[in-house]
Order: sequence, then C-alpha cells, then structure tokens
Amino acid sequence: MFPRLFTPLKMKDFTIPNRIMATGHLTHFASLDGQVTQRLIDYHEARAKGGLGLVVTESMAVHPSTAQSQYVVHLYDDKVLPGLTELVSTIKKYGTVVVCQLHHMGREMISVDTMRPIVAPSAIMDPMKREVPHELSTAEVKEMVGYYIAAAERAVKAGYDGLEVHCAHGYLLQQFLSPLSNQRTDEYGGSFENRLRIVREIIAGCKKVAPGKIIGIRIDGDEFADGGLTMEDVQQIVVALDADGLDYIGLSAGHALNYPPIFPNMDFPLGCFTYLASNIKRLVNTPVYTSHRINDPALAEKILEDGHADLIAMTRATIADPELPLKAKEERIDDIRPCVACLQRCFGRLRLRAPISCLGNPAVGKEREFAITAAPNPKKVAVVGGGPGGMEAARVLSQRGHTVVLYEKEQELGGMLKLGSSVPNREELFNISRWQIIQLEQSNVAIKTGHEATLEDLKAGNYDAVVFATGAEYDEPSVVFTADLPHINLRQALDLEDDQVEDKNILVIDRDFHNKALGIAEQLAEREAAGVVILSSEADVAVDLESINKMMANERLTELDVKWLSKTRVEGVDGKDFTVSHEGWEVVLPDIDLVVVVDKPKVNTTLAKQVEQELPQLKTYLVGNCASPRLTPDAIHDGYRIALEV
Amino acid sequence: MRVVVLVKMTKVIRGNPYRTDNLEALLNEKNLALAVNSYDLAALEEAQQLKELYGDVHITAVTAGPESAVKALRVARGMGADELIWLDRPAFAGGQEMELARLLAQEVSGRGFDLVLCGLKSDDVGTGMVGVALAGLLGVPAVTRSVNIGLQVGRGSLRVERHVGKGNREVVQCPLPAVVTVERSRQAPRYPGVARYLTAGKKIVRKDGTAGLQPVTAPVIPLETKKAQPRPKKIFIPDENLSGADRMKMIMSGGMARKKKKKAQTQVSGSEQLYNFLLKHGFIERL
Amino acid sequence: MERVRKEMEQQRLWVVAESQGEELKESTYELLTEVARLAAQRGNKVMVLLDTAGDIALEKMAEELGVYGAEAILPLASAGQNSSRQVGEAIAALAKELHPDAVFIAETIWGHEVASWTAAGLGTALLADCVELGLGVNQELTMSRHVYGDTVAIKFAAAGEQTLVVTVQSGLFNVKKSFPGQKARLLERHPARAGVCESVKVLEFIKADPKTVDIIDAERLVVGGKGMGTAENYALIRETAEVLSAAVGGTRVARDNGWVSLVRQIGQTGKTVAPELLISCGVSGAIQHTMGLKETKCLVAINTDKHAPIHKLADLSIVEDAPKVLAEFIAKMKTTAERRQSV
Ligand SMILES: Cc1cc2nc3c(=O)[nH]c(=O)nc-3n(C[C@H](O)[C@H](O)[C@H](O)COP(=O)(O)OP(=O)(O)OC[C@H]3O[C@@H](n4cnc5c(N)ncnc54)[C@H](O)[C@@H]3O)c2cc1C
Ligand SMILES: Cc1cc2nc3c(=O)[nH]c(=O)nc-3n(C[C@H](O)[C@H](O)[C@H](O)COP(=O)(O)OP(=O)(O)OC[C@H]3O[C@@H](n4cnc5c(N)ncnc54)[C@H](O)[C@@H]3O)c2cc1C
Ligand SMILES: Cc1cc2nc3c(=O)[nH]c(=O)nc-3n(C[C@H](O)[C@H](O)[C@H](O)COP(=O)(O)O)c2cc1C
Ligand code: SF4
Repeated sequence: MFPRLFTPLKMKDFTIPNRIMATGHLTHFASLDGQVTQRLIDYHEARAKGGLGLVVTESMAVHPSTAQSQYVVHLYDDKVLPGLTELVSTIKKYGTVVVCQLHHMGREMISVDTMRPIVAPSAIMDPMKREVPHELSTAEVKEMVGYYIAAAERAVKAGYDGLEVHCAHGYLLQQFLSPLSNQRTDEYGGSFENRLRIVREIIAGCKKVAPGKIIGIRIDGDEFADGGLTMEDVQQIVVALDADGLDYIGLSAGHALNYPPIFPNMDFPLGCFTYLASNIKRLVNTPVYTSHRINDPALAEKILEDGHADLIAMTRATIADPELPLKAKEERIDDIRPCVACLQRCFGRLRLRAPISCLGNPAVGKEREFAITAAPNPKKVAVVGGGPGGMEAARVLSQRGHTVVLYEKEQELGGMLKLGSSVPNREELFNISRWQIIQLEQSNVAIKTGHEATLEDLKAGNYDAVVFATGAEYDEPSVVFTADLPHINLRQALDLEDDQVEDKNILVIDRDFHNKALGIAEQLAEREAAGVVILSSEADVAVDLESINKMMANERLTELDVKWLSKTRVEGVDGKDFTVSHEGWEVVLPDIDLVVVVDKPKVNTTLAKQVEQELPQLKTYLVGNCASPRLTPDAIHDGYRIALEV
Repeated sequence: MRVVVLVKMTKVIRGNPYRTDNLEALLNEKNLALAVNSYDLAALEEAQQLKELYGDVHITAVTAGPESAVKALRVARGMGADELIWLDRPAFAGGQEMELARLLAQEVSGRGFDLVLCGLKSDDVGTGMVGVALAGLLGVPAVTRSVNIGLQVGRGSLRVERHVGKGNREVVQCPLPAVVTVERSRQAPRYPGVARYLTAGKKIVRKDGTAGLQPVTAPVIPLETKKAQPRPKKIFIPDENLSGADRMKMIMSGGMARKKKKKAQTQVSGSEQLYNFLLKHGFIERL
Repeated sequence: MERVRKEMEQQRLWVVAESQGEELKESTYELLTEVARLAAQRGNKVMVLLDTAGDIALEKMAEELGVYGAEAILPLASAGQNSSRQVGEAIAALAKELHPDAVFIAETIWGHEVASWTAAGLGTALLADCVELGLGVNQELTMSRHVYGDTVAIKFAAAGEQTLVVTVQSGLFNVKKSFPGQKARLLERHPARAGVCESVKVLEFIKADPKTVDIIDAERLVVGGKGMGTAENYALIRETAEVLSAAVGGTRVARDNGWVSLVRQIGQTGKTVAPELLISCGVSGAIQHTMGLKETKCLVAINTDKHAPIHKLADLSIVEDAPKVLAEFIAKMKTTAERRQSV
C-alpha cells in the first residue's frame, strides 16, 4: 500500500530501512543531573522496535550555558557517555539509524535553568523569554564552536550514526543566521557569509571528528517575520551549506516571534510546511526531510510520491503510536492510534516541566510499567460509561484477557468528547475516540450501547469487578448575576437554537479555565451572535489551557470579533448592563441578552454510590471525570492504569 | 485497402520498481521482460476491426530491430496481419526516432499504402513522435490519439474519433492516405490466435534495415542514468510579497479559505434552496 | 524585417505558449518561469511563441508575460483548426533560419503534437516529457527524462549545434513572477499555415460522458457520504447526478460500504477533483476528504449536522436530511423537464 514509504534510503554507508523518521524531541526523561535514564532508553526502544527508519534523539546541550529545563542531557560532559552509549546501541539493535541533535538555545531560554547569563550573537532581548542576553565575544564564539565539536565527538564515541546541527526554531544558530537577532560587526555578523560562518565552522568540525558519519542540519524554511529570513534567504543559506557537503537537510518552522509552528496544533492543516522542503528539494540533490502535521502514512506516501521530500518526519505520530511504521507496513491503518495534534500531553507537559506523555497513549515514558500483560486470572468486568475513559479501560482489559461488558446509555460511544469535538477547530480531537471505537469493535468486548447500567445489571451480571467511567455532568450555573437574564450552563449553550443565538449579545463566564469557554464563545460567534464577551477572574482567560492552543484560539476569536477580559469581577447588573471591574477600571458591558456560565462539571457517581452500599463485596474502580472532572487524557490514563490494576 | 501497422517490442521491468534504488539490479536482464508495445496492440486491434467491418483490408505488420523484435510480428500475425515485414538492424537507441521514421517511410512508400497505423507512443523510452515524423516524411495528413476509426462513405477518407483530454473526444475527417496513431482504449485487444502465432515464422519477410540510410546525429548526449526519483510537483506557496503574518495566515487556511457562513434561508425547503441556488449560478435553466 | 530577424536571433531560448480561450494554460507559466530561470543564468533571452487563433489580447499578454521572464513575443497566425501541425511546422521553419538553442513546450496533448511536428520538421529527436531542466559545466542545456514507467532517469546534455526540441511535464514547476516590471516586446505576426493538414476537418466534439469520465476531469460532481445511510438512498446520488449531467463521487466510508468504487473516492487516499459544481450529501468533511476538494469552485453541502465541518467550506449549506432533499429535487427537475417538453 505504501511502496515509497518502505523503500530503503542509503545515506553514507548507512541504510535507512524506510522513510519514516522522528525528529529531535525533548522528553524530560533525562535526569536532573543531565544523564540518560532507563526511561529514555525504554522510550526510544519502543519506537525503534516499532520500525522507525531514522530517529534523531532529543536536543542535547552542547554547552553549560544552555538548558530548556532541568531535564536535558548534558552532552558537554563526558559523564553522559555510558548512558548515551547504551541508548544508542539499544536503538541500533532494531536497524533504526540514530542521529544526535547538537543544540544550544541561545537567548530563547531563561537563566533560571542554568543560573548563568543567557548568551546570544547580540544583546537583543528575546521577544518571548524577555531576558537580555550576554553578547558572545568573538573569542567566546570560537570557544562555542569548539564546544559543538567536542559534543559531536562525544556523540560519535557513544556510537551515533550521525549528527544534526540544530539551526532551527530560533535557537542559537538561527540567531546567528538571522539579521533580526544578529547585529554583530565582527566576522560572525553582517554579511551573508559572516552570518553563516559559525554554522559552517561547526559543520566542518563535525566532519572532521565524525568521518563517515551522517551530517545533517535542521533549519527553518521561512522565519515569517518582517525583516527576518524569507524562504528565499533560507534557500540561499541551504544551498551554500549544502555545497560544503551535507548528508541531509531537515526543514522546520517557528521561533520566538512566531512560536506555534514549532509545535503545530490542530489549527495547522496537515502537511502545511511540506512546501518548504519541496522548494529546497528543487535546488539540491541531498536528501530532504519534511515535518509538521504528517500523521498518517497515506499522506506520507503521497508526499514522497509527489517528490516533495525523501524522508517524512512523523514525530508526534510516533509518540502517539510507536508502532505506526509496523502497522503501516502490515496495512493495519485503522489500528494506528492517531496523534490529534492537541499538544495537551507532549508539549503541554514540557511547559509544565514534566516529562512528556500523550493524550491517547498513556504508555509514553512508562513503557515498562505500562506494558500490557496477560492477566494472571482473567475476570469478568463491567465497564460503565463509554466515554474516552471507559473505552480505554475496556480496550486494555480485554487485551489482557478479561471478559468485558461495556455499558453506554447513549446510542453512540464517545461520551462528553462528542461535545468536546463539536466546538470549532476541535473536530480532530474525536479521532482518538474513533480509534478506540474501532479497537473495541474488533475486540471481544460486549458493547451495550443505548443501555443505562443499573444496580440490577451489575447484580445479575456476576461481575468480579466494575469500572465506573460515568463521567461528569453540567449542573445549574454556579452563579447567577441577575434574575432578569437567562443564565445557562455549557451543555445548554451547546444546544441553543439558531434564533436564540443570532443577533444576541452573550456573556461567557470562564469558570472552567480550560478551553471550553473559548470553544463555546467561538461557536456562538460563528453562529452569528451579535457580540460575545468572555470574562475570567484569573490572570488570563483559559488560564490552564496549553499555550499554543490558546494563542491559536485567540487569533481565531479576534477574527470573529469576540472580546475577552481577564482579572474581572462582576460588580453589578442594571437591567441588561453589566458593570465589571478589571485591574482598577470599571467597564460596562451593555445590552447583554444571555449569560453562559462555563463551570467545571459535577462528577456523576450515583450508580457507584449505590453499588458501594448495596454490593459492598463487588470490587469497584473510578475512571476519568467521575473520579474528578478533568480532561480526556486524564480519563484515558485512568482507564489504562485501572485496567492494568484489575 | 492497404493498411500498414507498425509494431515493436518494449522492455518492461518486472515486479515492484520501488523495492530498491539500485538501478543495476533493477535493469538486470532477469528483471526485464520483453513485451509487445501496448499501444501497438491497440493499433493491431484497430486494423483487424477495420478488416472485420469493411472486408477487403490487407494488413501488413512492419517492425524494425534485431532478432528479438520478431516476436512482435508473430503476435501481429496471431491478431490477423496478412503480411509480416522484418527490417533487420541493430536496436534503436534513444534519440534515433528520425532514423527509424526514415527507414519506415522508405519501406511504406515503397510498397504503397492507404493507411498507416501505429501506437501513440511506446511504453519504455518512447517519445511518441514516430507517427508524426512519418506523416511528415510521407507528406500525408496525420491524426493522433485515435480511439475509433471508421471509413467514410466512398471510402476516400476516414472518420476518426480521437482523445482530446478530460475524457472528451473529437471526431475528425481525414482523407486517405494518412497516418493515424492509436491510443489504448477501454476495449482490450484480442488474444492472438495460437495456430497463426505459431506458424507466423514462415510468413516473415526479412529485409536489410540498414541499407541506404544516413545515420542521424543525436542532438544530445546522455550524461547520467540513475534510478528515477519523483520530481517535486508544483505545490502551494504563500505569496512572497506578503508580510510574514499574512504568509502564515495563508498556510493556516490551507489554500481553501474558510467562507463566511451564509444566513440560513429559513422557511424554504432544502430542495428549493438547492434548486434556486443552481438556477442563480447558471447550473440549471429555468423552464 | 531584417532588423526583426536580427533581434529574434538573440532569443536563444524559445517557449511555445498554449492558449485556452482568452488565457494561457497554467503549464505555459510553469514552463516560462523555469526557462526564464535558466536564461537568466546563461545570459540568454526568452521568446514566447504564441498561436493567435484563440481570443488572446496580445498587448495585455506582452505586459503579463514579461513579468515571468519573456523578452519578446512572436504571434503565430494559424488557421485555428488542427493548429498543432501548422504551428509546429512554422516553428521548425523559423528555427532552421534562426537557430535557437532550444524550443520548449509544455507536455500537453497539443504541446506534444506541436513538439513532434517541430522536431520532425527539423529532422531531429524530440526530448519528450522532461522533468528537470538545468545547465551543465559549460552552460549547455541539460534535461532529464524518466523512462520505463518512471523508474529510470536519464540526464542528457546538449551536444553540437542542433536546436533542441523539448517538452516538459506539466504540474512540476512553481509559477513565479521573477521579473517584476519587465514588459515583453511584441513582434510582428508570423504566418503559420501548412497545406496538407487543412485537409483534416473537425466534424464534431463529443463531451465526456459523466457516467464514465474520470472524476478528476468531471465538471460537476455529486458526492455522497455515510450520511446517505443505505445503498438505496445512495441511488439518489446517481439519479441527481444524472439529472445534472454530473459524475458520482464518494467518501471513504461510502467506498467501504460498497456504494462507490475506489476510482470514485475523493480525498487523501483517493483523488483530487476540480469541478465547477460539487454537491456534497451526508459528508462530514473530514480533512482527509476535504483535501481532495481544494480545487472545487462551487460547493453545496447537505448535512443534518449544522456543525459539520463541510458546512464551513460550502457556498450553500443545507441543514436537512440529504435523501429527502435529493428526492424532492429530482422530482422537481423531472416535472420541470416534462413541462418543458409539453411547452
Ligand atoms: C465543550 C467541551 C470541550 C472540551 N474540550 C476538551 C479538550 O480540548 N481537551 C480535552 O482533553 N478534553 C476536552 N473536553 C473534556 C472531555 O470531553 C472529557 O474530559 C472526557 O470526555 C471525559 O471522559 P470520561 O470518559 O471520563 O467521561 P465522559 O466522556 O463524560 O463519558 C461518560 C459516559 O458514561 C455514560 N454513562 C453515564 N452513566 C451511565 C450509566 N449508568 N450507564 C451507562 N452509561 C453511562 C455517559 O453517557 C457518557 O457517555 C471538553 C469537553 C467539552 C464539553
Ligand atoms: C489514512 C486515512 C486516509 C483517509 N483517506 C480518505 C479519503 O481519501 N477520502 C475520504 O473520503 N476519507 C478518507 N479517510 C476517512 C476520513 O477520515 C473520514 O472518516 C471520512 O471521510 C468520513 O466519511 P463520511 O463523511 O462519509 O462519513 P462521516 O464522517 O460518518 O459523516 C457522515 C455525515 O453525514 C451526516 N448525516 C447523517 N445523516 C444524514 C442525513 N440523513 N442527511 C444529511 N446528512 C446526514 C452526519 O451529520 C455526518 O456529518 C481517510 C482516513 C484515514 C485515517
Ligand atoms: C514534546 C516535543 C518536544 C520537541 N523538542 C524538539 C527538539 O528538541 N528539537 C527539535 O528540533 N524539535 C523539537 N520539537 C519539534 C518536533 O521535532 C517537530 O518538529 C514537531 O513536533 C512537528 O512535527 P510533527 O507534527 O511530526 O510532530 C519538539 C516537539 C514536541 C512535541
Ligand atoms: S499529546 Fe496530543 S499532540 Fe502530543 S502526541 Fe499525543 S495526540 Fe499528538
């Protein structure tokens, strides 16, 4: 089905068994003292075993002045060699070619992590991190080149097949390449040649210490910033670097001034940056890889067929399902657990300085603890509730050999996520449940949809255990500002008729702090409400929403003319006019027709409580929102964990 | 009516060509099969149909090339050819199409003809210019991409249906003598009759295919032969003259911009809405 | 005249444009962009040869093509019908006199024929369906062709003095206005008539049958998805297609259900279509499907779910039961047709 995807690619003396690769991605699995951990090794082993052709391991620090967080591999120190050697040899066991990403953040970081001044080509404040860096002196630049090369040498010692010089994402080397961040007057700044010099010196040095190894780069194909590098500038740079001899060129996008493309969420169309690779491929004979939002093998094959690239990075797609390459090869397309580009548990957790996981795949980084093993004594288990949590529990339970009956009172599986994916630009979220549904249909779980489980069912079923995944529900609004105006909850807001929305002024109160208030506001605006205003008591609306999803949502809301106000309190209502205080100001929001209060839902444990009282001998578990109202990945993680416990 | 059909053998690579990037392995004799050019089979089929429809059609199959080319004549015989001519000469290399056209023109004009049929192009390395070049040399009209040929009343001219792209066809009238190149059509060519195929050898007339020809110098020299990698197709690129932010916007909309939602037309039923819309945009006509 | 000849002699690279009504085909712009790139590298000038049988406004064209890199435009006056031979032979005759380095033509049905006649007229080989153009070490033109069903790539370099005749695959090169402000010179009209081909007459044009046409080529499509519910309901898709002279397409789910065959599936793993009108019935609008709709000009969506993503792309959104809408629509069209007959 995918002939081109499974054509090997020769690079130097290495044969990459197929065209699927994972680009470098920080995992936070390294230890606090910068060492490779067993967790990191297990993580990569699972992906190598799953059939990845090429893997670039996470960005590793080439110098003590760089760190994305506390949990990065200290490639600047020989102490990492034993761990790194084991990591590399484990990956290579499976025929996967493994490349090391040489990395320095430059100014795009905070000094908290290193307690040293951050460094950059010029002392220009980073627009995102807001710290003013120390401008590297000419001697310091030369020293930095030495560090890169020493790190490269260490990587070679550890057995890596190749090195990737990270010139992308606005980090140190891009800061040198871009006139926006490089205003030096010495040999490392100014002219085109000078801005390229550091990268050239590093590449030349790498070649010297890594003869016969793959030397590649990763670079942003366009800075998308006024005054920054354009696609044509980058083409010029790449052609010049390629003339020095590169083994591959990886294209990427995103940096401090335009951050979301580094971690594209579901707003980004599939394969949206493939054109950057395509336009480089026209100019060079060196293999080119493309990344960003390529999450299924059909798209990957198409890109190869259309000649846009030679290698396809499916990074998050293989975080979500390490076995993607194998499943594609065996043509089990429906079995591939999709990456829905939610960023909730990969990048979202990095931001919280926690190790990565995945919305749909709780086993990420827990490959050992969460290995699915056959149950020693198979039981008969009822799962009540067919939302993401219940389905995950049922899926894993049945894989372990338990006999499972899944009850869902609605006609269709999917639970609250059906609503969750009905708000604008969240449609893709449901793909994870779609996958769960297909998996359940293929399993021997008895699925009883349209069947509300009752105490009688659980009594009659002779179950050894019951998993409750009954979710949570929206109650009466937690606040009513005035009796004169209708106040409704999220659920009711989703069910509004057109004439209840059109030409109405609607106030949305964010007491959920995640994406729901933004989602419903956007939906109402799209449905031609006259005006929509979101109010939050916190420092920001959707204060707990992962940052990139928020940035993208804000853009869409702006386009729809939705307004929002943070740090607010409603001080009073006069008829239809709301007076709101905001950082010492008083703002009047006139002529409001409807108030939507987006609360956290209330757990639905009616049945669980009944069972507790009436069937105390029955072992019960709670999963997902019915344990405590949270998000989809939590429900899935609960379901998976409980299924291993039963 | 004297119909000449030009036939040739082509090389086809067996199996999945993506299995390796090693060209030598791929082009190893073991991996290559010789087959009659698929377009030529369509031309043979067309000739035979003319014979069946109008009777009184004499089909001569002509091939030029080394010993291995003879198989094409056997197949032609099996598919109904009456006369088989083998112009014996070394295989043609790429770029020698004009030489081939001259050789064929010499043979065809020597024997006299009403209609020359040939395949639109060849499956392996062909450039699809032989039919046209031949018509040029013979000074007769040419019709390309035929999918159906019939004789006009009086039989002085042809009525040819030809492909003109997007599934559309064009019908042309063409006086005889003429050259027609044949497109593969939906209808599969018949299987060659076994008995005729086996006894074809006796019918084959071998002629010297090198006599009296000036070699042509190719305008190009081959520099490099390698496994073909797909060339990048044209791809959507945001306009470079836009600002960075606007370029991003174009990417985000994926080239298919979101359209502002129309106000729902209430009261009117769905089929009415559809009908009115199609009417308004000229897709259907009012009574 | 002599001066014009002299000027034309400077145009080392020729590009033959192909028109379509009042405009030039996209493939012409692709080719011109690429040839202009080579010309700039070699210090050459590009002349565009243009058959004027269509409704081309020459002045406007000169202005427009300059921006893409044309230095001069030579209008060729053919007789219209069967123009490929007239144009091809005229170009051959001109090339014999002026010896350009190469004549480039986009590989289309017409382009291939023009190129064949040009090459035959020059008695040279045709380099057909090239996928890559470039320059060799001595600035000589190079080009690659794929042969054996896209398996083997052969790269050629120009050798000697012969004019090359090259056709270049369409759909490869990005179009770019690399020469802002440049305006092409409009040369004097050149006759392009050959005697023998005028004996070939076009009798009739047969439009593709929507029932059998490849959906890629279809001008109108009616597409059904899972929301059609049953095979019986899906027959309404075919009937609607019939009354509108449209072709039938489907989503992957429709294919999985056996309602349409793979050749009619639209989307990522199916085909990309480019119709003037597409009526989408019971289709949710999953990205894998809508990827294949990018080139659609006018989209009507019928889906009971008013939040279905397909509605966002639609020019007309109908939030109703699709089988019902179609059945009523067919009935309406039929009565209209009957009334028309009785009038
Ligand atoms: C507008 C909106 C936007 C959202 N956006 C996001 C987002 O962007 N990211 C994210 O991670 N999450 C999001 N969510 C939250 C997400 O949908 C929930 O966290 C998730 O669905 C919880 O899963 P669950 O399995 O625990 O419960 P649920 O999905 O609520 O499933 C519970 C199921 O149990 C069934 N049930 C209850 N009682 C019985 C019974 N007695 N017998 C049989 N069946 C029973 C119910 O019918 C229901 O199907 C959003 C939610 C909404 C409403
Ligand atoms: C790797 C991969 C490749 C894929 N490639 C393709 C591809 O090439 N092409 C493709 O089409 N899909 C493809 N898909 C599948 C794609 O993701 C969707 O599943 C599919 O397009 C959905 O088809 P649908 O719209 O027919 O069905 P659904 O998504 O189930 O939508 C049915 C719609 O019908 C509506 N509906 C229901 N009843 C009615 C009614 N009575 N009247 C009107 N509307 C009604 C519903 O509201 C719903 O919106 C691919 C998927 C993957 C994973
Ligand atoms: C958790 C996470 C960490 C990442 N860390 C890095 C990194 O260290 N170096 C890098 O070049 N890119 C990094 N990226 C970007 C990815 O390499 C990749 O470009 C991005 O995820 C988009 O590709 P995808 O859609 O195939 O996942 C990271 C992405 C994620 C989600
Ligand atoms: S957490 Fe979300 S974005 Fe990250 S890999 Fe998993 S599905 Fe993809």
